[in-house]
Amino acid sequence: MIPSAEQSDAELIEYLRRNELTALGILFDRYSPQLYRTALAILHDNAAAEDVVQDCFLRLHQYADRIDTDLPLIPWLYRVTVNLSYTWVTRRQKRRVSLEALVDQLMSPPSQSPDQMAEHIDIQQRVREAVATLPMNQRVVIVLHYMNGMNVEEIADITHCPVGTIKSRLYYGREALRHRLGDYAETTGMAHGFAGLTG
Amino acid sequence: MGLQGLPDSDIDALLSASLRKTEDMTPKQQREVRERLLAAAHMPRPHGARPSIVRWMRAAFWLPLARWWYALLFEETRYDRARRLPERALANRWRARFMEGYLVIRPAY
Repeated sequence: MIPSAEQSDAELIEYLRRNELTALGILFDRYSPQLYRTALAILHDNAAAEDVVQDCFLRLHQYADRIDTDLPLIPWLYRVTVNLSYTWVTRRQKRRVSLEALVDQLMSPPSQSPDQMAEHIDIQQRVREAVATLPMNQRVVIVLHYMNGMNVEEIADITHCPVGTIKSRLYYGREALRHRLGDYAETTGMAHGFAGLTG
Repeated sequence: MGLQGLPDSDIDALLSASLRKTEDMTPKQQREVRERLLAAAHMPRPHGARPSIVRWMRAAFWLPLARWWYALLFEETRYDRARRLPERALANRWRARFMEGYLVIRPAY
């Protein structure tokens, strides 16, 4: 039998255990968009988010034998994505940015058109930048909670932390964001434009 | 008015709205990553390195070696340690010996 997109995660993992890479492709198509967005929100770097997603599915292939198919797959994938993001951030802190990458960054054209520089886009950009400046522990919790809509129990399961720790990180992360965005809002009057953004 | 006075619900809504608009993977990106992934998954995985002889010996004999060190250090020196002065007395004895031997200028006999 050939694995197909209609089959469940558990069945596809069974195929993967028999080294059917078509199953890996199907799982990738199914889950890579949400994992990519999570990694991008945490890392703030397109190429790194791509690498993290690719590594995540490689781990799935590598450890397919050890995965419990009675449990849902997506928390496992999120856990691996978050752990790989931690690893990536730790390694980035250790190595210096290469000169070529710096030149590419400086020479590349601006990615945003003038229309995208409208106010609400600017606010979202500010929020994402502010999230990117948070400590890694808080950033992961903020992204999983606000972007993926997970509750604290689910985040605690993914990050292997107690629920109280997650609540604390969520609180301090939110307060830090409030503080950082508050400085910006005071200079630009951003707070008056929230209605259009959040509605 | 900044964000300091806003209720939590507004901050929550702002963060959700902003983070949920994080850009998606483009189809081109997804295709490229998928190709890279499948190419990497096709490659044979290297086996773990064979342990060196030193590691193998250590893994095999660490228990008798640890027992031997224990015997050498503690059991074989029990009698001598029992006959020694207590620690606080030893320090004074060594200090006195050092002072006499090296720091006190004595006439050469």
